[in-house]
Amino acid sequence: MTIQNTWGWLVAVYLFLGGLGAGAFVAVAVISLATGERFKSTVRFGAWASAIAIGVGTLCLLIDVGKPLRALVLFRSFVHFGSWMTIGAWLLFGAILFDGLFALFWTEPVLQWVGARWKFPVEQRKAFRVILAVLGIFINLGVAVYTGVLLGAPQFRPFWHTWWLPALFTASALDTGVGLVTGYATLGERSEKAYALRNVLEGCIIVLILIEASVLYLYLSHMLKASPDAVRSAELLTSGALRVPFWLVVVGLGLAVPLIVCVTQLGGLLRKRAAVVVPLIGLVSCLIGGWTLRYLVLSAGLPQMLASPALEQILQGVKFIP
Amino acid sequence: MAKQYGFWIEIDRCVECYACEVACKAEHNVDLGIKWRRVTNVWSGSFPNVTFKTISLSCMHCEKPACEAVCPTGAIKKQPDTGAVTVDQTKCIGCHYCFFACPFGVPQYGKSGAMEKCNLCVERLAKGQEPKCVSTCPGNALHFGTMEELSKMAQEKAAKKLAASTQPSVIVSK
Ligand code: SF4
Ligand code: SF4
Repeated sequence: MTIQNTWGWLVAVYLFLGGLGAGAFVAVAVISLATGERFKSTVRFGAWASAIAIGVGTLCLLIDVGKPLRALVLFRSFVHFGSWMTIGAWLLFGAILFDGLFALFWTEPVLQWVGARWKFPVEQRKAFRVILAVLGIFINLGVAVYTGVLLGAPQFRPFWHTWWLPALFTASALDTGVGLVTGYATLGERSEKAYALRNVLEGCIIVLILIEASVLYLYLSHMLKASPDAVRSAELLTSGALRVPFWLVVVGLGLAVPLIVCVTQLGGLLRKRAAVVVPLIGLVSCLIGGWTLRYLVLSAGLPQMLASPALEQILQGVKFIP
Repeated sequence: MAKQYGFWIEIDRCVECYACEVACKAEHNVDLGIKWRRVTNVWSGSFPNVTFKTISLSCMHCEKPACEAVCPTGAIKKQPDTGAVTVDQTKCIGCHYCFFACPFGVPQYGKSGAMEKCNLCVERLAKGQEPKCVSTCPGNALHFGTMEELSKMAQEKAAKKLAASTQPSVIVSK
């Protein structure tokens, strides 16, 4: 066995969508706190996108297991709170409800419907929006961090058992989430000040990509200096079997292309002539890179060799794994 | 402390007959391709001085089972009376998290999707019998008992307890 394949592409979809949704929520929550109602269609889009992305992601995790029907009954299947998977399942469930509720508070027809029956929630909507936004930022950051902690908890997968992983996944979550919101702001936001919003978001993406690239660099260089098993894993990405998708897709499409797109957009170089196509390319490329990052980190999570110094001579090289 | 049963494996007595593996499969009616007990050849040295040893391993019924810690459903339990680590397959959802947690890659998944592994033959223990693999081994290479009994028995044989942070209940001697 050269790569890890017990958890495959569907779990990668889960980790990716969980991060994407969390990042999008944080982006629009901050926008709503900073600008009030000015960009309400962008806020509404991001809130719905985040609830749906986290929902679909959670579904991917649940149907990937051996007994999906049993897993779907959360309150029967996720009951051992010592497990990170249990904590995560409930955190995600909470985030779906929470992000959905926030989205409802930004959806006019819903507000009208509610307003016709109960005055209070609609009259106080400003306060509700602020409270939900602030709490939601914490919950969704929790979701983003958690996607890395899930992999990091098992001790005998040295490539995952590190705080660099949640850091990397969180950076990528914010990067892809802000990317998605920027995509909407570019293509769908009709507010007069949309260009200003876009400029700010593009600036944020540049900073986030630089952060993500640095975290990725530090993570891998840390792993390349760690235990032999961690080195084997890291080398799979940098120079081994997974090097082509790693350099081409994760680094190329996921980081370099969106960076170039944002820089050219901000510089005003291409805005007029290719107002839609170029940002769209940047967005798609960033999303593909985000999923591939999860998939490759999963694939490279090799087990630690049976570690038993006292018995090394007897068991030398035993891998009790088929 | 509650009792902790485990295995002592005498490598020099193993004749590589696979009787333990087969007896286990028959006893527990295990799906094709899944092995609760596995006989493994361990090669060492480099050409031309290559030797190999044969060792029969199963779940180590760790004192601190990493699989139990990560299981979201609480399907994995450490039995207080025997120290056996068992799976309740009706509770298990087959999420594979235990596979990643176990340092020995023990958890496997059969047709039902649920995790399965050695259960220390708890049904046989309840009747006062030894696990099937141990009672089947023709070479007396596999021993069963509480960890204290086993370490006393193994004293003369330069035996060592398998070391890992989960504290496996397995002693091995050359
Ligand atoms: S050997 Fe693995 S499956 Fe068995 S008790 Fe220890 S951690 Fe659990
Ligand atoms: S596969 Fe089953 S036994 Fe293993 S951690 Fe998941 S629910 Fe628990």
